[in-house]
Amino acid sequence: MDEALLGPAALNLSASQLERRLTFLRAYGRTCLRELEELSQFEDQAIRRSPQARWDVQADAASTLSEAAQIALLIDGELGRRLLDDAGELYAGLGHPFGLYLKAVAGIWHPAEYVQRVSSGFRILEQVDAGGAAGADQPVPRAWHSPQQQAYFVLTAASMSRLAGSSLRWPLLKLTESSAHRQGVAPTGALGTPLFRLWDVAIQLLREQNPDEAAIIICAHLVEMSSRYVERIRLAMVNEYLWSHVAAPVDLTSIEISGIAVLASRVLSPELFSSHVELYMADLSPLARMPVELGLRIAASPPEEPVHA
Amino acid sequence: MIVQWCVKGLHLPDDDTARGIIDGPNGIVCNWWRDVGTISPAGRRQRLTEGNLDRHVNHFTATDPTTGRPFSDRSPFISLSAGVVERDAVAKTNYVHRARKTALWFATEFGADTTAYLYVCWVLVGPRSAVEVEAVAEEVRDLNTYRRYSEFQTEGEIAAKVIVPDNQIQQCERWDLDPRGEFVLSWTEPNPRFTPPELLTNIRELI
Repeated sequence: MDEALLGPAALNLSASQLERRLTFLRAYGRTCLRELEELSQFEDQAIRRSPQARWDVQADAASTLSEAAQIALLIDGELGRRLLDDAGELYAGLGHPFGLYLKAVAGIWHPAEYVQRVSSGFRILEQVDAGGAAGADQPVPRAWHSPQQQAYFVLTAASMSRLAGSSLRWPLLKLTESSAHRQGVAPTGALGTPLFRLWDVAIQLLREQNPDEAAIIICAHLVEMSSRYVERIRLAMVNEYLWSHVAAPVDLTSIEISGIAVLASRVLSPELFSSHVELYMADLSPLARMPVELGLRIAASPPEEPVHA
Repeated sequence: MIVQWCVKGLHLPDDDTARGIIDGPNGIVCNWWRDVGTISPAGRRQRLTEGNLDRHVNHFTATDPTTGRPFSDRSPFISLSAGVVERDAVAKTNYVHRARKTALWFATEFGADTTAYLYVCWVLVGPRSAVEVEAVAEEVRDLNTYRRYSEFQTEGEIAAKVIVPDNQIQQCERWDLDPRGEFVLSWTEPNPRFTPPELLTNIRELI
């Protein structure tokens, strides 16, 4: 796809306005992180701000950096990946598996760190699936009760299950195939994608099957999601004032669509998956294809080493 | 009835103008009032309609056929930011923003300026839409189909009507983007005439 169609022009936005929005979000994110640091500095429990206040600030920072990442992906792919990873770390700190999903999409982490986190997450998922079974060492973290968070987790775990080995892959496949979420209708992500689509993508990545079959099924999901995406964007563009100032209440890209494209490329091979995108998504408009193409570009990027503080 | 704390971000030329809104008795008035100078009760009723609210939310700068000018010039509504932070909704959406974030974006003229003036205020919000009732602000939620996560939460946007009275404005804040690339609170100007919303509660204290 023409690289020019992956940037601001695809969205009929000026590059300078997108840059301003990105600068603003990064500044606001730093402001939140400084506020978080200040909240944590009080040694005296009596004057320490409530956990709710700290949670609010960290969640605001995470959400802000996630939005910044999606804009950065349109302008500077490497910066976008780093911001995805940063946002992912903040979400994971809140106990949201969505954080692991962002980190997986960014692809900036040590494999060993990943295996430990996913293995821990799978034990939690088993607990949830069993109705929060008595006798478990720890209560299920609150966010894990959300089907949406479970969907992000299974996508993440499925994308790296071959790395984690059969001790995780087959139990995870069994759990996902038998779950009621296979027909899940809960709206997921900014587009309100029915949950079953993300759940089925995870199953396709877990199954031992012809990769072409998996790619065809995943592309079918992406076609539907992309159609929903382009409709929302075109409706948002109607309010020219908000749209031109990057103030419309929509995500400019779709981290679900881009993320699925990244993870499917890594599992099935970038060449195979992109060839199916070319074949099955050729009839979509450039705007509709943009989130998928951003994902393919991330998948084609060289791996990055995590930067340790 | 709900008392909703909000933030209004305004891009203003200088500190004197910003402090003037706190120091004076006029509160924050809508573009329509500022444009025509004098308004009437009948005029207010005529302008507070579903159609005008739709134009304010979805077609802000589109030409108003009745005036030939952008609708924004004569909107009777005032957009306020209330923020969105509710844990279970966040688990479903991964989306949070506190009120100052949206207000800062607007008040910096969408990133063109490094100074922003924010006004912290409260308004009354009804449990359901009541566009024609001036005293109650509207929670902008079901006015379009494309809002992110609309199934679970609002975007934290409130539309006040005609005026936010001066005694409902608690303070003005000046925020600046500093060289480290963070927003810092440069000063706060409290409103000496502010009326706290607790006066409206139905809790009778024990005497």
